[in-house]
Amino acid sequence: MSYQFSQDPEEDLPNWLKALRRRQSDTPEPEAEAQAQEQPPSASVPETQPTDPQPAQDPAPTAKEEPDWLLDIRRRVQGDQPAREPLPEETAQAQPEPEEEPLPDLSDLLSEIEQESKVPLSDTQPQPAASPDLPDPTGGLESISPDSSSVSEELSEENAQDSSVDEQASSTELGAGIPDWFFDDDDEEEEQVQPPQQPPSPSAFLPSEEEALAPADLPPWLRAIRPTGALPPLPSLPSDEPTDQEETGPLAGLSGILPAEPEIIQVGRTGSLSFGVEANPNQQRHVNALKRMLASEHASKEDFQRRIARPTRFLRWIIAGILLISVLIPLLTGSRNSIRPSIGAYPETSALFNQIETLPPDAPVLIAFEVQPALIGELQTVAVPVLDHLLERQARLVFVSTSPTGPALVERLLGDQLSQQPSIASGDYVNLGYLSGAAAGLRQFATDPLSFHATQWAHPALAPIQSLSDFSLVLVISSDGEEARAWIEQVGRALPQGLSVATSAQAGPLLFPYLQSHPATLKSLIAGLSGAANYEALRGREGLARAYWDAYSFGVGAMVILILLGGLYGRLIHIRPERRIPVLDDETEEPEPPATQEQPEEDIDAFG
Amino acid sequence: MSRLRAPFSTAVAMAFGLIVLVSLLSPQLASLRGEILSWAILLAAVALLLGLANLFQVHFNRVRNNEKPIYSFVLLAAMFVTFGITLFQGRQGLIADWLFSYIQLPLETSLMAVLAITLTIAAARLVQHRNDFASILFIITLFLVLLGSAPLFGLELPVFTRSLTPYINRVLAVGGMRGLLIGVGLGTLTTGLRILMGADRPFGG
Repeated sequence: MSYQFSQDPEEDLPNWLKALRRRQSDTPEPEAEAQAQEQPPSASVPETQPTDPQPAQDPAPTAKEEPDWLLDIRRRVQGDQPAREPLPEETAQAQPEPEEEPLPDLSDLLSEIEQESKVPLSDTQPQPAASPDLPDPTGGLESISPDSSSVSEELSEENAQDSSVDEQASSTELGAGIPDWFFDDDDEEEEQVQPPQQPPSPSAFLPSEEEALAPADLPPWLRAIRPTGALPPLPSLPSDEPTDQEETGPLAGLSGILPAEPEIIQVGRTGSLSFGVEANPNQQRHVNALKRMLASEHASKEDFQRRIARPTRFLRWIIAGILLISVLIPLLTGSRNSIRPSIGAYPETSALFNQIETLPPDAPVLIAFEVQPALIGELQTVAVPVLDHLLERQARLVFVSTSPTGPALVERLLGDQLSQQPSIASGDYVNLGYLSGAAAGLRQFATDPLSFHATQWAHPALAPIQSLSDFSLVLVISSDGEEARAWIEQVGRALPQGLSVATSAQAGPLLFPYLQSHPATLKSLIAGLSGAANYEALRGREGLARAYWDAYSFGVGAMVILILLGGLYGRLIHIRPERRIPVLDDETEEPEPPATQEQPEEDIDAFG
Repeated sequence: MSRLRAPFSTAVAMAFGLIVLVSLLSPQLASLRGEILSWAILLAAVALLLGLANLFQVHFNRVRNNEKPIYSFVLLAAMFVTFGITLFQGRQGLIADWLFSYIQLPLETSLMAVLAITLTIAAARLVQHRNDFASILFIITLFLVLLGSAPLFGLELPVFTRSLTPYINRVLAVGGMRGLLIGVGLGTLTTGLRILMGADRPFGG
C-alpha cells in the first residue's frame, strides 16, 4: 500500500479538521495570529510530539512550541476545567504554580478523551470496517502503520476539546459531522475508567501464534536445496521506544508511523551460504570417484612412471628369459629333431638351386652384398649355403655393395664361414667395395660397370667382363626389401638372365610381386631361415640353417604361447565387469590413492 | 645474390632432370646421362662427408654448451679414432677390422635381438590395449604365419605349413604388396613431375 501525499500538508487534513481551523481563524488572537504568520505551514502541527507512552515524564510543551489553534483549544479547555474533575496528575501539576496556569499535558487530555468516548483506540483500529457508517476521524492513517498512537491521541484530544467547549450544541457544523457516540460523555463511566490506556505497542499488531500461518509442506527436493543457516537471525521488532519523527507532510511531528520492516533495515554482511544437499549412496559414490580423479592430478608423474615401469621391466625380463631358454636349449644340446621344410615347399628356392647347379666352372658371378650389421646373424645363414654352393661350382665371385659397411661384412663373412674354400683361402675373389650414389649409382653401374673401381677390374678373372650381362649370375644378398627393389628396378632391366635375391624373412613378401611378374625380373629367391634350411635340404647337407632350425622352432613355439596368453588375458580384462567404487563413510575423509594409478599396475602385473 | 639463388637452383634442377629423362628415350644422349650420373654419384659421396661434418658440429656444440657433454664427447672421440685408424690402415686393417667385428657388429645385433623381445611383448599386449576388429584380425594373421613358418617345438602342423601360411604369403601378401608398389610408383612419378615443373623445390628456394 502506498500513499501519495501532497506537498501542502493542509490539503491532506480531513474536512472536520479544516473546519476546526477555519473556526479558529475566525477568532484570532493578535499574538497567536502573528505567531502563526511567522511559522511555515508545516509548523501548524507540533513538530515534537512525544511518542513515549509515559507522558508523565515528558516535559509539557510550551506556548511557543504549539500552534495557535492548539493553544486556543487549550485555553478553552482550561476555562472549562472546573466543570471537569481533574485527574490526580493534573492536580499535582497545577498546584505548585497556580498562577502561571500551565498547559495540561497532551497525554492526559488524550486519556480523558478516550475515557469520555469509551472507545479505546486499540479497539477502533483493528476493526475499522465494523461500522461502515462511522467516519474515519483519522483519515485512515491507522491502517498505514500499527504505530499510529500519536495520531489517535491528537484526534482524541481534539474531540475532547470539542466536547468540552460545545458539548450540548449538536447543531454546530462540527457536531453535525461527528456521530453522537463520539461526544458521549458519561461521568460515571469516567470514574470507572482505568488509568489512561497505553497506546498499543507494535507487537500488538503482529499475528499471534495461533493466527500465524502454518508452515508450508515443502517437497523433498525443495527441502534438500533449502538454505540452512544462510541468514543471520532476525532482530526483534522495534520496541516502544521513540523513533524518528516525520518532519514534513500531514504526518509531521508523528513518529513510528511507517517503521521499516526488520528484514529491510538489516545492515551488515550476508552470512555465508551453506547448502546441505542430501545425496543418495550412488551420488555419493560418484562424488568420491570425482575426488579421486582430482587427487590424481596432483600425483607425481615420476612416481606414476616408476610404478608402471617396475612391473613392465620385470615382465620384459620374464619374456626375454623364456625366449632365451627356448632358443638356447636346442643350440646347446645340438638337437636335430625338427623336421626341415619339404623340398617342394619353396619353388623360388629350388629355382636358385637349379641356376647355380647349372653354372659352368669359372663362371663370373656378381654378388651385391646389401646387408646391415644388425641383420648379419640372419643373413649369414641364408648367404652361406648359397656362397658355399657357388664356390663348390668354382664360380668367380665379385662383390659390391651400396652400403658403407657392406664390404667389411663381406670380408668378415668369407673369413669366418667360408675360409675352408680354396678360392677364399687363396683370395681368388674380387671385392669392388662401396658403390655410392644409391639408385643413381646403381643405374650408372648397370650402364657402365667398368667406370667404377677401375683398378679392381684389372683382375685376370674379370678380363672378359665388359658389362653386367657378361656375368653368369647376379645375386643380391639384401637384408632390406628396399635395397633389393632398387637393384631390381635399376639393374634388372640390363640383365637378360635376370636377378636372384637372397634376403631376410621380413623382406621376402615384398619381393614376391617381382618374382611372379611377366616377364619375371626376379628369377629366384631365397628368404629367411626356412628358405636357407630348404636350400640345405636341396643340397643334402647340414649347415648353419640346420643347426639353427631347432632353435628357431622352439623360439617360434614360445612366441606363439606368450602371445596367446597375452591375448587371452587382454580379452579377460575387457570381459571382467567394472569394479564398483567403494563409498567413503566420512565425506571429509581424505581420498584414497587414485584408482587411475592402481589400475594399470594390476594389469601390468599380469601381462604388462 | 641470394635473390638469384632460388631461381638459379630451380633452373638447374629442372634442366638436369629433363636431360636425364630425355636421355632414357634417346640413345644419343646416353653418354651425357652417364656423365651427369657420375657427378651425382660423386656428390653423394661428398654428401657422406658433409654428414660426418654435420655430426661433428652438432655434438661439438653440445659439448661446448654443456648439454649432456659426456655422450657427445664419447661419440666424437670414437668417430675420430675410427676414422683416423681406418684412413691410416685401410678397411682391412687389423685395428679397423677389430673395431668393426667386436664393437659395431655386436651392438647392432643386440639391438635387433631386443627388438624381437619387444615385438613379442607388444603382440601379447595388443588385445589388452586395442580391443578392436583390426587388432584381433592382426593377431589371428600373426598366429597363422607363425604356426606355418616352422614346426612348433619340433612338431610340424601341415595344415599351416603347407596350406594356410603359403596362401597368406603368396596370395594375400602379394596382392597387398602389389597395390603398395603401384602406389609408390605413382607417387614417385608425381614427385618427379612436380620437381621438373618447379612446383617442388626440395633443394631450397
